Amino acid sequence: MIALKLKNKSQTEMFGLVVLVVIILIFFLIFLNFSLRKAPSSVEKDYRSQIISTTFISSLLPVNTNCTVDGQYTFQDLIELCAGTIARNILCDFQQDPCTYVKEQLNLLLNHTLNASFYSYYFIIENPDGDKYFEVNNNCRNRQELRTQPYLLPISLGIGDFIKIYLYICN
Amino acid sequence: MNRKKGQIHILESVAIILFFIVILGLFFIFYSRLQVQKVEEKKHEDAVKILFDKFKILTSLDELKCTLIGVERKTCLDLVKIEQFSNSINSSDFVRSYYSSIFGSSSINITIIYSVDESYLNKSIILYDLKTTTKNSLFFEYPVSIYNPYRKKTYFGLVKYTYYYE
Repeated sequence: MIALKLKNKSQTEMFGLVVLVVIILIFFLIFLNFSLRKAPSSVEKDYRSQIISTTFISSLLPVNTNCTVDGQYTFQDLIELCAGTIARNILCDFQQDPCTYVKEQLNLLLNHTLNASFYSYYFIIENPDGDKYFEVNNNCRNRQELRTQPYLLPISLGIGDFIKIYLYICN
Repeated sequence: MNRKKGQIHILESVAIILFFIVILGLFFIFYSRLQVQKVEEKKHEDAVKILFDKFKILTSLDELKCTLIGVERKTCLDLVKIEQFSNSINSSDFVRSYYSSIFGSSSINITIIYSVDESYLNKSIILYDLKTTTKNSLFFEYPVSIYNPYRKKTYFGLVKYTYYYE
């Protein structure tokens, strides 16, 4: 009787051990599953970001706006006017100041494109003195990521002066 | 008593075999899932490469690029060429089969999102649409300027390239 009890006890212990081993194994497999999972390639992300930042600026500049005098001005003309302080007598829709107008339109375009596609970005237009004429930071937290070369927009009247346009896509 | 003991031994052996079968089963499930995941990842990687290759082809097509006084403009598409391209693909089997050998199972959609001409605002053109499968898809949306040579104005648009794969 005592021997049978002892055996029952050892069987229970063995059963407990087996359960423990199974639980450890399950956790081990789950851990392996997560650790072996490959992180998504950053090459694709970087390539997308690079294309979008360069095509956004180069596509934006020749676009016509509703600011006129003797023809319709493009975004490039208005940015030159406002960030490069080139004196021109321009009137925009509803007699709006062209520098206010261009900022509004830039925000509108960013909303329709990058914001709509949930990109985190940092968009800056710097005048030749290094002052920021236009700046939008949309959830770009890590400034270390900001490595993109600026788009240089030469000013028609200044020699060697450039307006710098940066568009960093962070995520 | 001896018979009971023997039965317990058999039960123990059965339990051990079952235990190993369960462990083997778990390993098998885990391994097969890992393999499926690897295959899916490889498929996705290949699809990304194909998508960007096709994107490069699309941006270099002379049939769509805009020129100003003979000079090519960067990231610019000609509205008249776009419309003509879309019409040709829809009306001619020869043209459709030629471009299907380039773009394969894809759809390309162009939308004007900023225009000083109200009539062109939000205008959407399906440049190419051929889906041989819709199981998996990848898309890439990028900005372009769209030049309207009739009105001599440039608009801002988005090209959405969707690539479909098995």
